[in-house]
Amino acid sequence: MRARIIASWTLVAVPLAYGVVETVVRASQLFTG
Amino acid sequence: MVPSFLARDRIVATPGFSRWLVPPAALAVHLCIGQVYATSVYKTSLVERFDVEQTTIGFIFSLAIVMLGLSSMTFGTWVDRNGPRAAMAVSTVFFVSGLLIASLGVSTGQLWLLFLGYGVVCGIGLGIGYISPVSTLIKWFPDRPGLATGMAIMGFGGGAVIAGPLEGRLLSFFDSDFDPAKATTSSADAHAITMMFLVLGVFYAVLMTFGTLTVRVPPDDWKPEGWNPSEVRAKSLVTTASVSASTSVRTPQFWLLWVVLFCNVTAGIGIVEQASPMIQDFFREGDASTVTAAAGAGFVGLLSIFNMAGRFVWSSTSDVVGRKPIYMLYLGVGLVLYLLLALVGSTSTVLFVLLAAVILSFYGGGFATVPAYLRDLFGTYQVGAIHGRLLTAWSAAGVAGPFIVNGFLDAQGEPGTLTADAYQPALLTMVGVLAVGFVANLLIRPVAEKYHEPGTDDGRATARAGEPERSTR
Repeated sequence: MRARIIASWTLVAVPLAYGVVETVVRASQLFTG
Repeated sequence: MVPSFLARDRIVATPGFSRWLVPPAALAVHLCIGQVYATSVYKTSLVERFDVEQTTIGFIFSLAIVMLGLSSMTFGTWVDRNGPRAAMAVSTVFFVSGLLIASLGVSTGQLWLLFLGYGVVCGIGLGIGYISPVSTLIKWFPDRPGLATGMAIMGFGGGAVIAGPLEGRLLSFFDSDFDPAKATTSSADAHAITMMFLVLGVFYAVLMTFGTLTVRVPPDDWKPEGWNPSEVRAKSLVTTASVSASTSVRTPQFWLLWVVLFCNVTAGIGIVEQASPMIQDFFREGDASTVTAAAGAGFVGLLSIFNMAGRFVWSSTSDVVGRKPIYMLYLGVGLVLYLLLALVGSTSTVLFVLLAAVILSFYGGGFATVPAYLRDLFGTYQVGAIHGRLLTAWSAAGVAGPFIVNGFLDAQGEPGTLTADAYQPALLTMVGVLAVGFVANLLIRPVAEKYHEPGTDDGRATARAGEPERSTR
């Protein structure tokens, strides 16, 4: 069951992490111009 | 009515099932349908494709939000009766079909297909998908309902965070001339938009199917290990009695909460709607702004992160401090922050960004906390259906918010060429809107016993209409 929980969370966390990283990079333009 | 493998009684969790599998199932759905807030990347491309005004394309997205409210209201009781798997399956079919129809519309140049696909069919999928996991999560997490619904509804904010960059990359992959960094001026060709909708449809079909197959409902007698239901009864705004969806709309509490959500969302949209031109206008010196267009886009990205994070952080906090106090924070402190934004926001970029970011976190928090507030007031019996009815406040705010902001700004000129003073009337109006919401929240009392379903009263001294409240937790 633990492996299934980790796999499930990974499946949703990976695209979310992709989006957050991309957005943070974009947001950094606010401070760098 | 639904195929047997989707039926509620087929997805009752067996012993050994972990409730921590349910939030990722809910997130999988919300991360997909949250795409509706990431439309600015291809909006200009659609305007060029169909040779229409920005407002025409903007109307398609507004239509999707209106359909969200209408479908969640219409199908809320069906969702509660048939369970989350059936609801997620139907949501997947509608949302993905809508994207495919939109893709066909772009490919063939038929604007009506875009209206039908994205505005109507996707919109129905949005509404059913949004409410599909709420009641189930509340039943799995009676000890932390704010945390549970916060995790799911954070996914809706996260959906835009994922879809924005993904759409930009897809469009530039299929059309090398498209520059995602200049999405408001650069436009992709029809083939690229068509393929983007197709790829998104396939990606979302896979992720939403995972959620559909993973979700389970708890057995009727299930409760978390070590959790004592009598702790719930100890809080005066929290009931263990049940109120049906049809009865809930006859209570003043439902309509007060409707006003609370409407005001919170309307005020948030005030910033969301004009974020990029707004920050440039606030720091304009002569004809030029000290904030570049790229920095404005960065500001929009930062707000989306705070919007998403606020959903989880504030909703989880409400489990500790109580639902009514957290809305006093959203609306009361939000009101002060809006006032500061209007009066001194132009004195410092850092101050402006900080104020707007916290306001957006309250906006997200308001969405995520409301299911737990409904659980507190009306019980778990038909909380999904009640939530569906309440979401009409979102649809109404989706019309009222832009109407207020654009109404004031249109009288001043074109956003992107204005100064901070031009925004004051709109921002001060939002202060008034938040004040109305704050008062509505203050007026919320426990639901009177006469509205409870027979035999579900929790035995404590339930407040009757007009009786003063003993605690705010």
